[in-house]
Amino acid sequence: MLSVRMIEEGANQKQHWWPWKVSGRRAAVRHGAHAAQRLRSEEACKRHIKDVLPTAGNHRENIFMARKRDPDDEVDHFVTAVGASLDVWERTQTALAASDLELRKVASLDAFVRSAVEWEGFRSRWHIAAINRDSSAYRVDVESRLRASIKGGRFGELEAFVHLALPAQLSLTTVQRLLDPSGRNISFGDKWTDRARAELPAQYATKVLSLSLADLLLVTACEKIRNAIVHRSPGSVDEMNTALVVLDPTVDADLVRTNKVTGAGIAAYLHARPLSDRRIEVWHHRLRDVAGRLRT
Amino acid sequence: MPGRLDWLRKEHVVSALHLQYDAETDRLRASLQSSAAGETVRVQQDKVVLCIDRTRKQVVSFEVMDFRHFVSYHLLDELFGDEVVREIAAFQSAAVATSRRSQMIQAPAPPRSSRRVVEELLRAA
Repeated sequence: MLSVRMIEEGANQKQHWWPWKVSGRRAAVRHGAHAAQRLRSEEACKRHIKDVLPTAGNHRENIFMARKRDPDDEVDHFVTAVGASLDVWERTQTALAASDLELRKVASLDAFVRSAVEWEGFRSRWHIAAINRDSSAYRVDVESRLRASIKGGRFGELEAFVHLALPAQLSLTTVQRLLDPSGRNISFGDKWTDRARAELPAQYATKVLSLSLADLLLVTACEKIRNAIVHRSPGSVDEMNTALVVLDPTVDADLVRTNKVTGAGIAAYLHARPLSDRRIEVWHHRLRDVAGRLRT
Repeated sequence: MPGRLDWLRKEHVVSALHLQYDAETDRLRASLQSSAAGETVRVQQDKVVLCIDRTRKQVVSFEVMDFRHFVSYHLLDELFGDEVVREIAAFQSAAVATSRRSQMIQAPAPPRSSRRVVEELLRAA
């Protein structure tokens, strides 16, 4: 009985990471039969784990050790979420067709926040899943950082005697705990490629490092716009303007700003239609495409 | 209105910024041609290493490491303004895609934020 309860706790924890897999019925409604099928196989997997796990020890840890996260699943989830966000935006625009333009602009702003927040969560989960898949590079990185911190401290001479024993395979909970003990998303800032190079196995690091410059600049701009929307500080608005002016005009002609965007003008920038689509639609499509390029 | 004319003239001062990309080390080297450097100080901010003329409080040259993946343009924007960072980003795309090695761009007078940022950098150095 104890064993079952703890496994369910583990399952709840999983729901936090995979919020789209809430229940078989809801998943089927949201994402079709494929997601429901995957969920059913996951339930079978959980039942199997329940049968084979010992009743003593750290069950939750064992559950997460038993299965590796596939970063491609995170890409699938993000692509679905972007589609859902765009769908909500389109329906909102239709519903507000006869309303004030300002309301439609606000709906575009909301849609951007939705997709930008989703992007940040996705990038964080994808990174964690890649480390969980193969922890070798991350273990080396953690050890070198630990040694550097000891060398530079009061007990520098003891560095040679320090031995760090990390499990060969780091569970999702352990990776999350090491990256951010508070369980927040990883804040990459402008260091996504640096962290991918240092922490991920070659298979996944290459995916990030081979993204085009236009994609990297776009991802940076996405984060800066989100910050400017949330903070509205002069500094965050300045950073957003820098990020929008250096976008690659050959790829993102629709998104490059022509005039300075003020904090109050972000909604207008997103709702504008420089060519055939509104910028908010282009942002959704571009983020979805960048995520797609991370598939292995 | 002599004051206003001085201000206008100052805004239109243009100097040449020479950009050179070294693909082997993946570094951008940029130097302002008009700057006759006095005593200079090297200041590193993340991937940007600036060489600042302490007396004139001006950046005379800078290097950008890991240029292929460089996205943190804000400091350069504060120092040189929109037009210059737009040109550097265009050069970056060309350098990465077509292995263009050097280019000369026109740098208008630095924005108002430039002096404040340089002073902050010198204080931190």
